[in-house]
Amino acid sequence: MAHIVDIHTHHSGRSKGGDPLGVGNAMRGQRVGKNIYSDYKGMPNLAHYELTDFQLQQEVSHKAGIDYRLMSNPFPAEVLTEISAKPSVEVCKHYNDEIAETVDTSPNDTAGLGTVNPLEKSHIKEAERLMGPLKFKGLQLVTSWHGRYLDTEEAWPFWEYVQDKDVPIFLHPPRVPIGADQQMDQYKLDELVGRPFDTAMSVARMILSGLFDRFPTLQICVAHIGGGLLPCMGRLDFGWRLGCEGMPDDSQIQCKNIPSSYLRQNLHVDIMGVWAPHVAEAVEVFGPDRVMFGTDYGPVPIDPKAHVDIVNGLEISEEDKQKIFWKNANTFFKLGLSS
Amino acid sequence: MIVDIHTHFNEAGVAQALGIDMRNPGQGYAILPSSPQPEYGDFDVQTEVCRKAGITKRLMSTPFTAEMLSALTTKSSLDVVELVNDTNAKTVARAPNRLMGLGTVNPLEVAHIKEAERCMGPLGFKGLLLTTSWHGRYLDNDEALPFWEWAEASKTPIFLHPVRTPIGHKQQMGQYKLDELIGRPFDTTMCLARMILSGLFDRFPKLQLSVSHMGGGLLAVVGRLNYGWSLGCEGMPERAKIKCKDEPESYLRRNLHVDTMGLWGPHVREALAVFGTDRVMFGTDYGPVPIDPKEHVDIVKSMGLSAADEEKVFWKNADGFFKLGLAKQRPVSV
Repeated sequence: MAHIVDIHTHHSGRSKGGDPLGVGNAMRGQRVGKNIYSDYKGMPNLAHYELTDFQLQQEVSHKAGIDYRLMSNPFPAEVLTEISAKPSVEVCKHYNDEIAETVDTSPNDTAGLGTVNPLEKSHIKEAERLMGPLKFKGLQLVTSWHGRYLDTEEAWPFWEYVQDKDVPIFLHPPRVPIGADQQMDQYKLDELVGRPFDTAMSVARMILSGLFDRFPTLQICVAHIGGGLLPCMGRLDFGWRLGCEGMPDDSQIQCKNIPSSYLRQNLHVDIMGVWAPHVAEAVEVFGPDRVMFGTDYGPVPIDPKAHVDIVNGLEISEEDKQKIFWKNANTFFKLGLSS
Repeated sequence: MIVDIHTHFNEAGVAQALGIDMRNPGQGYAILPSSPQPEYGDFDVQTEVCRKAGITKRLMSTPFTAEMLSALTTKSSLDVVELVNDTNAKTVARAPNRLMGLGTVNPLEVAHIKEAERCMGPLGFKGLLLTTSWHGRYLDNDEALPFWEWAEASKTPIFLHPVRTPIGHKQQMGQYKLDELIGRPFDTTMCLARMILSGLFDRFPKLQLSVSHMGGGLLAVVGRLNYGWSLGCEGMPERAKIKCKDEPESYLRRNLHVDTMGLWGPHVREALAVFGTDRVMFGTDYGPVPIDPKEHVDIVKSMGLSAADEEKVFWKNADGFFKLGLAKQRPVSV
């Protein structure tokens, strides 16, 4: 049968009381109607109630025709490791266990993506726990961890592990993105513009630093149609072509091949953006084998039907639509779904 | 006929005239590592390369010199923009048949409106290049309201271009030319998102802005602006709330135009799909980005446009937007 797999959907458990991580009021907010308002690091934020209501999520998604969801929780691990006195791996474990609990309540149509900090070698053990006993389908990494990007040398042991074990990776921006201190406290700009540019920075750094030359078989799926990457792709290419003569060594672009050549070699994207013209560009650039259905449902409570309609509206074959709806995800995350 | 609306030339001596030694510019502005492109300051090479690529007219501007130098000099910002504009007028005068100019000012300073009038009057410029931010402040700011009122009333064509040192530059953009390759389109995106979401276009509904680099990264985030608006801002502080009356994407075909500069056919295609063939203009960034303009021409030619639409992108839209008066002239042979 045909499926629709949503690779990009988030759920956050309601607090069970107590303060196991010792993070006090860091993320606590005020109730506004059914939603929660908070302003962590001065960034005003509305957490929509759909984020914490798993049953509602399931109903809305099923109605839209989605029959399998990959659940993750992007922000708390990265945010709270900065605040909690506990070791960062304990913080990750806490939120990974929470996702495991959630997907255990509906094991036939949900599975988890765990999270770790790729910049800490000690997190590889937790990654192994996620991909082993917890039966997660992959890892969701934030595009930067406390402002540091994933091409730094500290992350190399992690990338070696990922390449060696063929672990599916889903890249997602962090709560507080690059440039947040520059007036992003207005108009939700941290979410609407900052996050896709944190993604663009992260992926551009991976490409330009030569990370994919060092780990040529890495396969990474990027949220939000690649963030702001595609409008910059020709820029990465001309930056590479014009060369770096006269620049300090650590400033020079390192990748061996023209940057755009890494897109179809190492990267995949989801279709989350609620903007059909950019999904069409992604399909043109990545081809129909490297684009997957994703909605961001939960924190972005737009009816998932809108995303389904965008894929159905693409001028591609029915077979290619099936790839985007589920076949690519089935292969990438090794879900074992059959047609 | 092909009009390049986005091209820059670096006349020597501007920094020196302001008492700034660019080899040791001081602490006033973060100048991240870049690789020198000799074409930026070589007038003869520029002329020859553009002629060969079939470009008939070039709109010459100075991208971020004024914004940068005004942070480094003790002279007033008005002195700086006057010098930069006089210098650009000199460049245009080197080849008046092929070149036209865009002036520049800081829209956040009311005092610069006078200079804007000089640009559009005695200096004979066809429009104004504004940087998308000025020393970290964006153009939706209250201080810019008198400028926008003037620009709307005088129907001055505006060309938005990112700054030398963009948003986020302190966060490791000193590597891999990331300030240029990612930071600048990011700055453009922030600027446009702020203009739309702040309600600037509700206040000045007739403003017409052309944006370099296909809109920076705007098209990758328009759907996000839409859902941020539709999900609402209930419970957020007044200052944080999205203010625009209509869905953010509705301002694109009302107030914005873009150029084709990006060397990336798929995004030019998206720009044509989103803005329509009336709001996309040919631009190359030739000078600081010395890629053969022929490549940009080929990208437009590969779009599968009708001959009439291709003409719009190559020159007719620019002719209308910047009031160049070319439609009345016979095409200049190349």
